[in-house]
Amino acid sequence: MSKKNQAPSTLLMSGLAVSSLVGIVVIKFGFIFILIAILPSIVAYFIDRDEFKSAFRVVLLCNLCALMPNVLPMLSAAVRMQPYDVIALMSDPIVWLVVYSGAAAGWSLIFLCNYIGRFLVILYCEYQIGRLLRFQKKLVEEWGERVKQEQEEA
Amino acid sequence: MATNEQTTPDFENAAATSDVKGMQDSKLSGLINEFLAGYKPARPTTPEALDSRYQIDLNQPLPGFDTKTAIAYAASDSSENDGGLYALICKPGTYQRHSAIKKLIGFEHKHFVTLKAAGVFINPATEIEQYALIYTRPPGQKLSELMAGVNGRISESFISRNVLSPLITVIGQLAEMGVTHGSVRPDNIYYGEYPILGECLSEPSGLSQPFYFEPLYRMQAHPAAKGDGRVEHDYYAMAILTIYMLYGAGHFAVYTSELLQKKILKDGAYAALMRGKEPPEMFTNLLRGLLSGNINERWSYRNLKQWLEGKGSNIMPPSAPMESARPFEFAGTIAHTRSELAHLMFLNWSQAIDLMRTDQLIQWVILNLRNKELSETLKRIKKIVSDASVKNQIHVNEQIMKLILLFDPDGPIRIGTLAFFPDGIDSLCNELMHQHATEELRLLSKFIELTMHVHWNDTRPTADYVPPDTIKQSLLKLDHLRLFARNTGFAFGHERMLYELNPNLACRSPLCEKKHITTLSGLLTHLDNISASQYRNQEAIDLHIAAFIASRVSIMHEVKLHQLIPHPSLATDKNSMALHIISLAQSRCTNLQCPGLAHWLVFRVLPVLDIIRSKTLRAQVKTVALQCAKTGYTQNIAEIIIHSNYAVADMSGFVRAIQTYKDNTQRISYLKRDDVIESYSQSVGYMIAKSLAYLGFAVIFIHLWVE
Repeated sequence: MSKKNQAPSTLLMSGLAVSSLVGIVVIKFGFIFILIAILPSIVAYFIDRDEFKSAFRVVLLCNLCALMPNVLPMLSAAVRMQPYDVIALMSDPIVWLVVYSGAAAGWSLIFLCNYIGRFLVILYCEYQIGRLLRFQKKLVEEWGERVKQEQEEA
Repeated sequence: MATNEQTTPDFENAAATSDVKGMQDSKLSGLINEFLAGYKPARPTTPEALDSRYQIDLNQPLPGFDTKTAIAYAASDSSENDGGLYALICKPGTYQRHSAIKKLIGFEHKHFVTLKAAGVFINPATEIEQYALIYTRPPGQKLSELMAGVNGRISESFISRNVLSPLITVIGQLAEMGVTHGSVRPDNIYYGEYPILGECLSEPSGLSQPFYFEPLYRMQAHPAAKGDGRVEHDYYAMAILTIYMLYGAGHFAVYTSELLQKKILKDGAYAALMRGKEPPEMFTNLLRGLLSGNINERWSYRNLKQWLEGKGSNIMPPSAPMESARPFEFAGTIAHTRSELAHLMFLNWSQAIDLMRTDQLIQWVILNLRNKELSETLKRIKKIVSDASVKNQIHVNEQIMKLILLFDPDGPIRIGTLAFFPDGIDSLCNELMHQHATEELRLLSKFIELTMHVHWNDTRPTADYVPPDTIKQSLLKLDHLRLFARNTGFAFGHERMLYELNPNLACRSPLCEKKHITTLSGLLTHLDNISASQYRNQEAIDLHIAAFIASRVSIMHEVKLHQLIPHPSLATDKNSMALHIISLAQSRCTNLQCPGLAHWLVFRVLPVLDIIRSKTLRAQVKTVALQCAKTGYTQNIAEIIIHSNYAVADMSGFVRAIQTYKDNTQRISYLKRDDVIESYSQSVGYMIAKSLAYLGFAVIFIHLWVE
């Protein structure tokens, strides 16, 4: 990886460290809940070999979508300096099911869109190949078979 | 994606091509056929009467006036009602002495046939154009016939007063005009009340002259290559005429040409020709003076005039030429003089080469001639001959030629099988072409190419030698010809040599068979006239026509069509060259339109244009060429086919097309690759997934925020 790619990564890490500190200070146990909740995204980050970490982003976004209904009240209480029962939240299996289902939906979206992408790309390539073949036929009509032969000889 | 959508090349003749849609070949050929089928150009024809006044009666041949190169017929002058004329109709392809003709037209002398006119007329019987000379018909009989009827000896005073005196006057006058006669002989002298010297212009100087009427060195030369010579040659012939009249024709019957040459070389001209007879006292000095072995001691017009006036001193009989006490034996013959040896060497050329590889000749020159300068030259010649390889035979021949010139500077240039004088090279070339003597022509061509003519001046015995005008002009002509003698391409070669040496010669192409064409406009007009009948089977140009045009328009370098170099087969094609050469010729003929010829050229060049790769461009060029042909100016066609940049455009377009085709093929195979499709699919899939994820996140976030 080049230095250019490393710089934002360092920045991200620093940002993460600062926000983690802020999270620990502000939401205390809630931070541990969030950390466990986004575990599938963290795993996705490490297994995603795409240059732009596309899979990670998709999983993270879906993970966050599922996490947000639970995190927003916790944040709201922390901002108002009111107590929030994180233990009850963490002990509710429905909460974990929703949160991890969000991450799973992310992975499903990735696999589904891959098929859609493949279909679109094949459509585009077939169109391009057809256009190029038509142009080649025109070239042969204009310049004769030698255009092909010269290329074959080369 | 980088693909070139342009399939045709740019053709920078937008003005000409913008409104032109390419036509199919069959349609183009059809249009040409249609045009030429109905093409009947209205041209002025060659008159049957020469100069619009001299009528030739082809039903009345006059064999008595025939020459080797011309047939005689009765002629008349319609404007003066003068029937006492005869015409010499020259055979096609023969040589006439045009420079002398120009000087002698209209020249009148009591003792010389008057040349009334010269030019081209059309033979109504054969419809062949021929060159004709119109002369006054001399009264009386030929001197030879007259003598045959005389019993006994002709009186000396008759010979002197009635024959020699008038002829000396007329020959002197001709010499003053810069013309030598070259045909002074009894069957070319007519005698009625007085002698009249016959014509001398219908053939090369001395062609019909019996060998004994010629001096030794003209005898040694090819009959058609004696050159115009000098007035002394005519006086020499008069000396022979005197002997002939004194002793009759049988006096020379004992000799063949070779025998007489040997005899003259051994004993001198006087002794050989007199054959031991003592001439009458009246002619002794005349014959000794005119037949002197030393060319510088020979009588001139001044001496002859003195002799006619009864003045002049006695001359000692010329002695036999002798240079060395000890003779040189060569080819089984004994030679006492260098001239004799030179003669033997020419007759035994290969032995002469062998001789020059030894020291024998050098030793003879040192010991017997005591000529150190000559021996040094011989040593140099020996070295070159010895060192030369078999491939350099021409250089060996050159050295032997030089040696012969050194030994016999008065003699002709002798090389290989050729013997000629510099001013006879034009008629020699014509004769060799006429006989299709390819080997001799090649030798002559090499002679010119290697500037061997410089040896002529180098071997003159006196340093202040000034050549006669005719020789000077010939040497200049050879210098000029040397510049392109090496070229062998179209419009050069032997044919070019012929037309350069003979600027008045009619074009000898088979296409001009029945015509006597000496001008560019005449040639183009003729080609235009025959276009309808010839265009299918004949090319519009052959080696003769190409060389003829090239000599007239002074093409100095080999014809190379640089604009067509991208298509080598088009650049070297005979029809493209024909178009180029004919267009050059037509550009010299102001306002001459030749639609027939133009269509002929386009018809021949159309198949060649198939080399153009671009279909559109090919059709455009062909169509524009045909449109240009309609104007009748071949220059316009040449502008399109030869000088426009379509060949370059076609080539660069083709290269671009190949590259485009190649790029497209690569692109197609790239687009067909599974890994590529996979990679694109993944990218697109991620893109869609990311978009949906961001969208979902935004919707939920906004929804929760609102709640």
